[in-house]
Amino acid sequence: MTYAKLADFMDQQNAETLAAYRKGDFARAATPALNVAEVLR
Amino acid sequence: MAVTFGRGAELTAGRLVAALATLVSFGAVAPAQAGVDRPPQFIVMAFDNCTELERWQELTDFAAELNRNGDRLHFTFFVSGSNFIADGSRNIYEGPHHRRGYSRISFGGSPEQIRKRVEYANALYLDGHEIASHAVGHFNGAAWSVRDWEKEFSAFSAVLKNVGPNNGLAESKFAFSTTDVIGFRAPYLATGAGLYGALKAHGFRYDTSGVSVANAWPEKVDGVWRFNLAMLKIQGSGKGTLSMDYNFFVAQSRAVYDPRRYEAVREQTLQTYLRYFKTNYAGNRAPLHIGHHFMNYGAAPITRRSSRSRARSAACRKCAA
Repeated sequence: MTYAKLADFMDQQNAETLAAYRKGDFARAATPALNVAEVLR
Repeated sequence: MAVTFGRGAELTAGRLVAALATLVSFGAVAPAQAGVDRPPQFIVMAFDNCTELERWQELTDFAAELNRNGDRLHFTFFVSGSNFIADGSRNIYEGPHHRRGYSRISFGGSPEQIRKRVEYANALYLDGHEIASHAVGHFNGAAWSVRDWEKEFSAFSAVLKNVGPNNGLAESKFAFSTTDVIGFRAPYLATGAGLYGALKAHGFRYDTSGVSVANAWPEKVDGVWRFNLAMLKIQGSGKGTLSMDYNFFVAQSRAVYDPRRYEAVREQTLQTYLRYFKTNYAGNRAPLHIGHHFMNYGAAPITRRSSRSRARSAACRKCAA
């Protein structure tokens, strides 16, 4: 995505949501089992 | 596996980022178990400078290939204003504290080269990519005042507005207006109080010249988002770098291309970006920032660069700062 789109996204979030993002206060994703060869395949 | 495009330029890291973006699109905004919904994993990739027409073509082809199955991936291009001023028109520009007609990097060559460069920028913009500012003369403005930066920003806007008349190109104009340029990356990442005092007043909504830890969410300071490059540890070496191609080149090779180490440094780079992705993806989902150039630092084509490219490479040595 472009930085302009990231700016749009960031401007749409309220302070509480951004604080939660910074703390990682949400259900975490599992670490993907990826390696370079798989990603580039 | 290297992925080769166009005239042999290798955009392997870009390919990796594109592939990761495809993967994360399936995991965006997953149901929440606590706090807030899990945010999307944003990956932002940008390219700085824009002199060589071959590179414009390669990046245009690269973007088109990545989007051949749908319009999904877009980049930000931080362009230098000097590349849109023909050599013969160079005296229209005067950078702060520099003589008229001088730029730290190349001017744009012939009017015909300017015309083609404008066409590339317009085509990318119309395909959903972003054109942003890398200033005009590629000077180190760390010590510049607010007024100096206002002068440079005004010069950049004038370059965009007057690209046709400046270069004797009656039909050339940009497909976007100066107000569509909302982002900035400082040459050499050289920032100072003057820059930050001038950005918002000139309509910029974000700056990408700073540096943060890898899992930092952006902060808005004085009305301008700081989208900072990340400090990373190079996998397999332990050396520090920024998430920027030239900084890898310096850290891994002291800015000297060594074909014997090509495979090793490429593998290190890819592993480093993949770790950056995995850590943030499973962590706090801070956006990934990848800052590259219209250049293939450390890759094979570096040996086939034009003299203009070599001049610019020398000018960019301080990018590692």
